Amino acid sequence: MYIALLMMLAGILVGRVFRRVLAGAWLGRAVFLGVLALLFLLGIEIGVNDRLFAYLPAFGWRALVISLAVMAGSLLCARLLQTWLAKRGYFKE
Amino acid sequence: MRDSVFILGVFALGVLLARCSFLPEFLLASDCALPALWIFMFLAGVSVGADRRLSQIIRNVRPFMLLLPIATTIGSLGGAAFAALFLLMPFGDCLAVGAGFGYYSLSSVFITQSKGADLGTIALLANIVRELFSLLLMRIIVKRLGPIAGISSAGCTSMDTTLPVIARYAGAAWILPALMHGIALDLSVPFWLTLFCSM
Repeated sequence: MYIALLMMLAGILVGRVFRRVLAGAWLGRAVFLGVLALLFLLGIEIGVNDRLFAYLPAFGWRALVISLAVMAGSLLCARLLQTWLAKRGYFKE
Repeated sequence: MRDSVFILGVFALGVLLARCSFLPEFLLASDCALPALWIFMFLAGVSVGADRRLSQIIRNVRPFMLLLPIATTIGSLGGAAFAALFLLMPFGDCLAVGAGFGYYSLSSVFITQSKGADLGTIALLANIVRELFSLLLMRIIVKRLGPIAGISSAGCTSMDTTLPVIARYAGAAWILPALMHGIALDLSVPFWLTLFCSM
């Protein structure tokens, strides 16, 4: 995982050094294409996992309930934090 | 909206093709995902580095960012406890699944070892769903609930797989908080799993 972070650091340095050449919209598009490629590969990784699909009917709904509850809790806390920070004057430019 | 549909479509296509065994061997080896992530993190880095506001982004690092992982932890574990009541599952089991924070590889392996394959599979599914929903819904979450909510819903994945969508929809200024959030949660996962699996 830390290789990924190092790659990003290397990217930041390269981007910084060549920033005059790189300015433009194509970079954002390249990043979006990267997102699509990653999701396609994630889909394949899930798709080839036969065990996961075999268990889906038995455990799927429980996993879904836990996942939704966990995300709802996170969103609620994050929202409270954001409101609290905004009241204390953060986020003002 | 168009982006989200597109993203969902590409993901579904990957699952479908893999289910139908319609793909060449080298893609199925499933090790391509890692180098792809590296290339992609490099690209995301270049786009941050080339951004003229880089110095401003770095100046924006403030102590309040340390509160982000704490909010995510409280929210995730609270939600998992609530789910335990609803599903009539043991609290320790549900909390262990929730404490994966989207880090499905580590949490499913760890839970399979200490609690068995059934709970391990639930952990795998639940944490994949978290990553997937965060990716797909990031635009809506950031728009409706703000950037902190977007980072929080991503959990551990805010430092890698969901970082690009956070950067895209919340703005480059939120990349550093997202990285710090992901790393802090990442480091806390083994601690929480050890605790909840022994409950």
